[in-house]
Amino acid sequence: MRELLAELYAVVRKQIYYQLGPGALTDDATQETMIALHRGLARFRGDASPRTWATAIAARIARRTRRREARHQPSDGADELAIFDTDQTGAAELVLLRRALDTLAPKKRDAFVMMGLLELTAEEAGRALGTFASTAASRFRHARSELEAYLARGDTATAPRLDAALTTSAAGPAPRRRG
Amino acid sequence: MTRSLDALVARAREVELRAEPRERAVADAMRWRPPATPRRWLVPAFGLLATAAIALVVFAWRPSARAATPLWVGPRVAILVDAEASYQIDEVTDARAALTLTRGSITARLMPGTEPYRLALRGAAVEATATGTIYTLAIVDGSAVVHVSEGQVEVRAAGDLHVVIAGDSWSSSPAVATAESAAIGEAAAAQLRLLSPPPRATTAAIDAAIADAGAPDAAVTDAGLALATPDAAVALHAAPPAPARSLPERWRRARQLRAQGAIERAADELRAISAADDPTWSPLALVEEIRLDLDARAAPEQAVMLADQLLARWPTHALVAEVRDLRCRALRQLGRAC
Repeated sequence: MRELLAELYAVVRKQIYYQLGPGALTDDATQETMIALHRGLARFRGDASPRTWATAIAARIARRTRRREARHQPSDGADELAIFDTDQTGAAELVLLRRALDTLAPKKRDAFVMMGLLELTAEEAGRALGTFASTAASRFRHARSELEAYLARGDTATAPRLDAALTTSAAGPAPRRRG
Repeated sequence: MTRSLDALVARAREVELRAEPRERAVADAMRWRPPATPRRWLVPAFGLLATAAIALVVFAWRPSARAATPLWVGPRVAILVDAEASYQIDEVTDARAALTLTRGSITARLMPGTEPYRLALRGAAVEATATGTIYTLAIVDGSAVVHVSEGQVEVRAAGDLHVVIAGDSWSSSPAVATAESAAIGEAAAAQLRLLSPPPRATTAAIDAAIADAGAPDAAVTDAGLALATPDAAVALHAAPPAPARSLPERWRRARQLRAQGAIERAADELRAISAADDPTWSPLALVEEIRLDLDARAAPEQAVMLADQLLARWPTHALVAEVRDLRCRALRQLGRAC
């Protein structure tokens, strides 16, 4: 069970990070999801893969958290990527992607996270998001178009910082943060 | 500098999580237990329980509800006192008994007998005397109330003599209602009517029979003590004549029986000694019986009564101080102040 939970944690942590952005809310939602997974494993019937089941639970918890904390603004702390095992270049790209996702409407963002990042099918994404597969696929397409346009403009506030991060990474990998 | 969406997505897919936060999150999830939900029913249940306990205590300590035990004062007088009563035994002899009441109420029954016997209850400047009856003396707001359940009682108050007959009540003050005292008296009288004459009277009679039988050299038996049962007459004739034992022998026998754990038989011996009215042995026997009542028999009310008897009969005896201490101990066991 511990190995399965560790595997599912890698999925839901990324999912919630991209859905809610960095900050304490994400940590709380992740912990809540992990507890729900641990308690729900005993009742898991195997109708879907554990990964799909876990993303559906994480999506519900993320949506509920977002509604509950409507005024929450994701923090831009320097430690937001401390959980990812990557170098500075990779970290800068993840920050860029996350900020690009922040420009999307929540429903489109959720659909893109499910289908684009977690590679769920339209049916799985629709089930996890509580909507039709066609609706999920449509949202995903719109989200992709908007993200490409956003990145193509190249005039975002994140671009200079991204460039700075990439320049720094050329000198060598940044020291990893503990914990 | 920009990146294509596909490149960013590929990077996001391939990036791994650091192990430490993952392990911690998994451990936290597995360790988590649902918070204990407050048991809301506990509060009203506790309140209900506390209320019931308080009600029980209040009910149990109500004077009228408290189970009183009749006490024997002398060979022919039994009294029943309420929980609030404060009284002392003034005198107990073969011909008369007198008690003074300062608070509460006493209901007394004078058992019928072949010899005349006078029972006097005093209180609030009133003396109520009877020669064979059941009656109650109560002190209510400083005035005396006498209620007679059986027979008749002579009440002396302020130099006047009043005769109260069965079913009637008399009060030294017209302002004091007698109904409540009468009700208490009737309830106590009903309890006293159930009493038989005290065992010690039977024992004394048997002792006398044994003494009359002679046979001073016969072996000491407990036949006389066995005669305290209802089959006394049969046993008296069936058993061989028992020897008349001296008081020191009885004293030794009582100590021996007590050491053997035969508490009731030891108490019978002690009663026989105290009934002999011997200035040396009777006070010793009474004190020993008080100790038995306090410890082995767990009968503090009886201990108080015996202590009062001793203090009335031998007020200057050397054991008076010890008896007072024992009386205080008994009163404390009863929850009263000494």
